[in-house]
Amino acid sequence: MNEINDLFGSKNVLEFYFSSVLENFSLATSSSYEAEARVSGGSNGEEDLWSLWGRIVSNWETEWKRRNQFVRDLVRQGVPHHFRGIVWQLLAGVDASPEKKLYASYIKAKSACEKVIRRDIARTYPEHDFFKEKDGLGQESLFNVMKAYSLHDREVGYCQGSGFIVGLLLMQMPEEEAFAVLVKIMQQHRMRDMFKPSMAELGLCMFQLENLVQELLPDLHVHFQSQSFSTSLYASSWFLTLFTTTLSLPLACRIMDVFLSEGIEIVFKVALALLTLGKNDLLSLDMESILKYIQRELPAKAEADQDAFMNLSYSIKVNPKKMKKLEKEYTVIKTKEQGDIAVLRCLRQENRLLKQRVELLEKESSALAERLVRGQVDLAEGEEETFALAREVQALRRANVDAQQRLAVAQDEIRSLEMTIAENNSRQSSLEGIEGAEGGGGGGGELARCLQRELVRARLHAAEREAAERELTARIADLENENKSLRRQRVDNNVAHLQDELIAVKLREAEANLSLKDLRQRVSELSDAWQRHLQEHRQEAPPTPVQSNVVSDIMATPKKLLRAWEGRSADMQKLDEELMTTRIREVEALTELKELRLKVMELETQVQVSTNQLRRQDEEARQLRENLDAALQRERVLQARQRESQHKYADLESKAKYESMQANIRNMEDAQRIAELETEVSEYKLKNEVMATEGELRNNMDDSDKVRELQEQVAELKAEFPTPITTPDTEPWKWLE
Amino acid sequence: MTTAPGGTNNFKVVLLGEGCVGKTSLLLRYIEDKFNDKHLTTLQATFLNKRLNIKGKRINLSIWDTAGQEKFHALGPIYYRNSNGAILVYDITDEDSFGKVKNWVKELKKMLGSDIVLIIAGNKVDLEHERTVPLEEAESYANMVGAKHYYTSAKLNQGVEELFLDLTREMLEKYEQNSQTEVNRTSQVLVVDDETPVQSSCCSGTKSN
Repeated sequence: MNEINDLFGSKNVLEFYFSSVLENFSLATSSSYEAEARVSGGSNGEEDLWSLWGRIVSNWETEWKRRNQFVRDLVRQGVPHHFRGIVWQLLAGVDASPEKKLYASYIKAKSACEKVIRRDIARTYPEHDFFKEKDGLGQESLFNVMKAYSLHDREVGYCQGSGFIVGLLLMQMPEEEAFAVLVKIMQQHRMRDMFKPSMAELGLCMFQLENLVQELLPDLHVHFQSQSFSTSLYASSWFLTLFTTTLSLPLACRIMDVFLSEGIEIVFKVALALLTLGKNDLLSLDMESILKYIQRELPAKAEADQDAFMNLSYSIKVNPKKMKKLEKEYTVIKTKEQGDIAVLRCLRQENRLLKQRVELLEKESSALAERLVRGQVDLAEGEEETFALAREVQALRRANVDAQQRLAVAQDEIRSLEMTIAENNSRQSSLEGIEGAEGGGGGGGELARCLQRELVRARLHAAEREAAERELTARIADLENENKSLRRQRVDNNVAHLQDELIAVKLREAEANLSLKDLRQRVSELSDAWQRHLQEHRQEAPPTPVQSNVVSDIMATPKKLLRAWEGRSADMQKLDEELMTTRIREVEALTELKELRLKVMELETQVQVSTNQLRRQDEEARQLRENLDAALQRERVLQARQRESQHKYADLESKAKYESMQANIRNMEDAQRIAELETEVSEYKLKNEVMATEGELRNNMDDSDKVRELQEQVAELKAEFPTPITTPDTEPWKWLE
Repeated sequence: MTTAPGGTNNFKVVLLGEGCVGKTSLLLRYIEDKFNDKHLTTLQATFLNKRLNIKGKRINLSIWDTAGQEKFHALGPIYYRNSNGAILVYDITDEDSFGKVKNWVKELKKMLGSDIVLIIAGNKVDLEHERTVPLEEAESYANMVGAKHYYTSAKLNQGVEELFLDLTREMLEKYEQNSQTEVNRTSQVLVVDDETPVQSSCCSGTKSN
């Protein structure tokens, strides 16, 4: 009692429930619960309760209708074990249900779910005596009922969890009845939806329960939330098996009592009651411990005082309106969730694609980074190299400067040495003084060289000119050839032209001949016709001349007429014939004349054509002649030029010859003078030598001691230094003294 | 996957498979070294923690046991959401249960990609004489989908310890790889997929409904 009191503590929300529980529990009697008073009375009360239930069961219809609330309250107190089977059937209303009759046929039939059902049989109430035995009566009936239901309700088929409900029923009644009650439970109390393939009802129940927890046990709700302990983790089996897998069988039976009379609401109430009982403990536990606590300690706590626990459950009020509202909310959430899922799927797909892209880009970027690094390394190396090179250059420059300095020093030295040499020389020259003569000889040589160079140049010019001349003659020859070919070509052209014309003319002539022949033929035809006509006429002549003669006789004198008639009709005829023949001849002559005229015309045209040709040829000839003249003129000019250049060349040659001759002469002279001077030089040298030897002799005599000392010193020094410090090659002036 | 302040790595592992293939038995064997052939059908997801040491690293496994029947999957992917590893259990005497494993592989690959370590376990090898799932088929399939294959018997305690140990090693490897790539990415945009195992395990986990 006090424990429960503590549990609720100062929670205002639950105060009401608590007080009502307290009332029920402590007093156990109230004005409206007569029966209950007897229940808690003792052994006497039990008997009374039994007789009360006996009356109710035997008179169920009326009792249920008349005293509905009373019976319901009585059920809440727990149906006595002996009455439970029949009461459950009565509460479910399966007395005359048609399902019972179907059962027999279901048992014989085969179900698609058989295998799945069989799998769970051994795992349903495995500790219970009735179901323990493998393939025993209990397991068999369990299988039968569940198979029957899977056939009866094909949409639901079999669902894990339902076996426990069936098992609970089978503990109270035979298969057939159990099946009928199961069908009612499924149909009347939301359980069918709970076991449907989508199990949407279970989700809804979880949602409703979670909200009820949030409302009634806010602390616990917050704690569960913080531990991510979802309602379905502890409450799904409560709803699926109606606490048969959580609580002991007696307590499960009591819950089933109320479930059958009041519906699924009791499941929420019991669930909340359980949580209320364990609230204080749960608040201090973590997720794993919560799960263990709910599985083990919490049921034990509830079992400790079943009546108290049941009363606690009854005391919890669940507002049906609120449940409806939650149901609506849940459907809204679900539909939204489905939309969200679709969106999420799209986003996931996108994300995957983007990830792939990111990966690709990363690869690319890493490759680029590598390249960058490599480039930088290269750059650094290059810089290092350039630095090293710069240093080298500096060193080289320094070395160069040094070398130059040394060179300058060396040059200075050389200059000083040269100076000393010059001094020496000048000493000598004071004795000689012949350099001027040597210079004169050199001047002659130079002149000769100049002349030779000029000669060469002149020869070159001459060669060039010869080449130019040859070129020009070649060009002249070319031009002449061209000229000739041109002339030939033109004539050929004209001849071809004339031949064409001739052919044309001949064609015309042939045509004319043809027409002439035609005409002749026609003429001959006509003459033939005329001859024929004359012959015909002669045969027919006699009568016709008479008539005409008559007329003429009439016209002329009759005598004449007679004469004519008699003697000259034949002459007349002859004359006529002659006339005709002459005429024909005339025509023939005319045609001949025409022919001749044609020929004349032809000839005239031929003459014209030929004259034209002649004229053209004359023109061409003139042109060619002009061309030839021009070419000849050019040739003449070129020849003149050639002659000129040849002259020039000859001049130059002669000049060069002359100059070289002169140079040779001068050379000769110079050579002579040089020879003279050389003899003089040798004389001077002799003199000089004589003087030097004289001086040496004198010095030797004066300083022979000194010399000896010096020689000794020299010997010492030589011993010290293996190579002589001074040699006559490097310092000749020292050796001269 | 979280690293607790004490340096403990938390991994979430989920046991999946057809009903009655022995998921709960494997878990009980591993955690409590017990075998009970009279336990009840599992109707709601539950989990147990196991602490172990690998390569000097403290590791906490939160192993989730689930209800096998397909209908329960409709309640949503709450069991396997944020899992680091999945043990797909089948019964070597039941070919259908192996078909279920294939379905699970498909679903997990679809929902979690390659972020999850998969292990296929052929349970009940104590019933070798009743075997219907060919050995080669199971192993080649596992190979194909990139999962390790183990033969276990919760009853005879065969291969259970090895299975969990190997799974843990692989998860650790994957986690270290991921954190490596995570480090590599610090200078770039961080892509956080809600399915990466960055915020998982017993301390965060799931929120249903």
